Amino acid sequence: MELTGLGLGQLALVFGGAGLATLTLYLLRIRRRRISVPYLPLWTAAAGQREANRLFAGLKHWLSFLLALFIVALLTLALGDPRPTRPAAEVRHRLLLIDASVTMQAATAGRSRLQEALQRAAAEIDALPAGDQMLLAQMDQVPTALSAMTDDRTALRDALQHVQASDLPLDPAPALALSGNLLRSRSRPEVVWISDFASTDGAALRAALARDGIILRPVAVGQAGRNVGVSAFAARRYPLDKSHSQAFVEVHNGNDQLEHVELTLTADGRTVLYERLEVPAKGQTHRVFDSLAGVDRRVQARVRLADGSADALGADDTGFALLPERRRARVLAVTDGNLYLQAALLLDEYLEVHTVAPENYHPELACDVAVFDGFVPSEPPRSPSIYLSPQARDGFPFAVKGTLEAPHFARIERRDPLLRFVALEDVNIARALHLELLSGDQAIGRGQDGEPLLVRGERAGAPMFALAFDVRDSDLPLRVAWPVLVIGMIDALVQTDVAYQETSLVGERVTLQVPEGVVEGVVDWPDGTRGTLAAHGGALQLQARRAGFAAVSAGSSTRLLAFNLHPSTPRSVTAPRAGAATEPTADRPGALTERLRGYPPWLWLIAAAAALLSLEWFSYQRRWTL
Amino acid sequence: MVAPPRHRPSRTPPRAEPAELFDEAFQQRLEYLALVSRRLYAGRQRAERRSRRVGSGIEFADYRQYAPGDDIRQLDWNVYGRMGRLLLRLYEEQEDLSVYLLLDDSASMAFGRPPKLDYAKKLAAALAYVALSHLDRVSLHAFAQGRAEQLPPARGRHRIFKVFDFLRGLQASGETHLAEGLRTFAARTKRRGVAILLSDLYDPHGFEDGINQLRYARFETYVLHLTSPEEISPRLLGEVQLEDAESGGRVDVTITPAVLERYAQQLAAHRERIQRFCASKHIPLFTLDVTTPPEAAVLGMLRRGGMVG
Repeated sequence: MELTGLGLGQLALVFGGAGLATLTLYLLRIRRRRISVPYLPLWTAAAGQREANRLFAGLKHWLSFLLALFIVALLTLALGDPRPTRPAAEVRHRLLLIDASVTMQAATAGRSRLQEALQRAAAEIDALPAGDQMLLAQMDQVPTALSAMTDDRTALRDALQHVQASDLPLDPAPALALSGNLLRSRSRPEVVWISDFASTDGAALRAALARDGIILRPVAVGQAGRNVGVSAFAARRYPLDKSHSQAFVEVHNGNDQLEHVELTLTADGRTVLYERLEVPAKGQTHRVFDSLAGVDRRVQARVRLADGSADALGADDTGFALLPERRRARVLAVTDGNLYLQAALLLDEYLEVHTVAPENYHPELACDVAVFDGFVPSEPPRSPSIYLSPQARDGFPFAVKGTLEAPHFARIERRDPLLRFVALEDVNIARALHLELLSGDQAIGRGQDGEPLLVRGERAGAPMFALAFDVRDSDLPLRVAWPVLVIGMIDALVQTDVAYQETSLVGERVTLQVPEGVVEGVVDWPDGTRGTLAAHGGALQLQARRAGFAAVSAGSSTRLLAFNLHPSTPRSVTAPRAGAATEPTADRPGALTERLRGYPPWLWLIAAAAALLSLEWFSYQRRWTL
Repeated sequence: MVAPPRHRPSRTPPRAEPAELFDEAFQQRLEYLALVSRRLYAGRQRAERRSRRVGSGIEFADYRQYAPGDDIRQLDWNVYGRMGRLLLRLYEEQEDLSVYLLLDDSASMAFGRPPKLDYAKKLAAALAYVALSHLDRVSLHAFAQGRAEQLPPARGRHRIFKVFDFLRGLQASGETHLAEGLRTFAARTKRRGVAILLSDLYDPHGFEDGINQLRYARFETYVLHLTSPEEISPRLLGEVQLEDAESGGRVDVTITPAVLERYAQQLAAHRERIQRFCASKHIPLFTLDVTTPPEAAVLGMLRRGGMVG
């Protein structure tokens, strides 16, 4: 027995004080009232005070006092909260793992798998034998401990309230590692694995834990159900028509039969497309939707079964995508007149173009991007700039080593976002300048001998692009690539990726750069909660647990992010596989007995004291005791 | 075990203010009792009274209506001449019946609600008034161990106020010793008559000796045994120390329902002993509860007869 409440010394003090008080009260209680009677001999004869009775009356006094002291002792011992100590080797240590991954959100018969798992976990907690210890953890991509290793059922039940569903896939390896690290050195280790086993195999888990001498008791939950979902979704704006967008949707069917589904695309809450699709059994169907109008930022693709039946796993029914923000860029075109340039600039309605003659240029003209066509300012502008038709004169941002005759684009940096949708390989160029790059400059298009033909760099702290040739000395203006390249350079310089913004995956670590001086950011998660992120090294790192849209605010800017389910997410909602045992261990005692044994000893001590007190009061009223 | 007496005051019932005992209402009831007793007396005692009326007393006491057979020499012809009524002169010697009211004013008589002593005072006053109404000689004696008080014999209803004064002055104190008190009374009292003992008969020396003193002295003895509900059904329970009101002796008792039952048995045996003794000695015994109105008790006694006249 060990005392988990007050210590022995404290209990002795408490008992001493309470005993003294009990003695005082008892002495007051047995103090006799003096009553005058007219004729004492009648009472003397009635009392029949034989010696034996007097002795018995005295003995009753002592017995009653001892009973009172015993009650006080029970209450004092209850303050010590005694607990039986079992030999360390007999204590079972149990890890209760609850699968909270995305497939546990599958619901059949009005109840989700996670709800069923919580119910099974509560039963496991209630059945925890006295003295055994348990730790509660939820698992998805990584396990998260929700309690300490304890035998306190109340604390374990409270911890159960903190299990939260996530859209993350289940990764059993970290859970197995936790099990081994936690239980390897403990007596009678056991893992209770409550899951739908959608992506894990009970036999493999059991074998993995057996290497550490840990017993696995899998508890399978869930039933089979119909499921269709969005397995891939992406959207982009047209580079030259930012008012329209293109979307790609892939729909997955996890069922054994062909399914008819209804696909709905919504943009910022408005429905922009509706279509019915056929998806083959255990297969996918994809669609590309062109010229979607009225799409601003947030795009969602949602599917549901066409017959109106309930989809078992709703978490994968929606795909999320973001389109880059559209804003007007002020372009200052310094040119004597270049129809090719002016035509390209006219194609984007989000450009505010101001054309000036070279003699009218001065650096104070406000703009977001300056396009110098055959003009070199005397000093580098403070705004981002594009140099077309380079002139080898003072102020040109590059040194010119010579001229090139009939160069062509032999090497293109396809990873550069500027050149994703641009084909330059077959552009014919009459002549070009051989530019000498400075440190930090990047040639994203090179000629056959490696000479830079298209350069990305920075001058006076402002980014810049430069073509090494006059476009009129080439057939580039006659190609589709020309306006795409011009608009692309402008968008890149104003940091507007008009074409495409990648979505992130749940569980994926996303890094966002923040302005200097920003020490923290606020994130509004897809589930509606809000959190704070600390900036480290000028960046925020975040990891979403739910699919959807998130907004990160740092400093004065806000960045939108879209999170989708991991591609490895199981799409079929099937019943747990055979081999996942569901019954608890055989040595589980009866539920009522366990419930009774589960009550702490101090409660029983107080109950015993109350029972004795009631018995003493009842007997006192009958004058059986004093 | 009885502990030696101590000097701590014990719980005794409060005493009624003496002045309230004999208020106007009580005195009116006394008048009623006197009338009733006279009726009873006239109806039953005529023959005996007539024989006693014949005598040679020299002290005029009162008038009485003439009845055939009375001595015509006692007729008051002056009254007849004035009023046309035949009235006989009554002389003290002829109608002299001594009534002795013997009150136990020991400490035990202070118990009860009302206290037995106050009740006894009212009874004594009522009986005295009835006797005085009948021209009987009435004297009162109060006694406890080592103490005795006396109101000398008096005759006539106007003496009732002396009776009141005497009774008001009595206080319950001391121990009961009936034999001693009544022996002293009998030795001092030459004239025999009716002796009415008013007591609760709680005498550790035995009540029989006391009553026998009256018998031996050839008094016509009546016993009024006074009881109170508090003695019959005491409301006690638990750990108590009982103290005798007279002796001061104490005993620690744990009063349980069983003890109360035994006490009731002891009390019943005590009362039965009193009844048997009185029955065996042909002594009229009246057991009176202090909650019974005194006049009703007196009426009851008169109707049963034999006490007065």
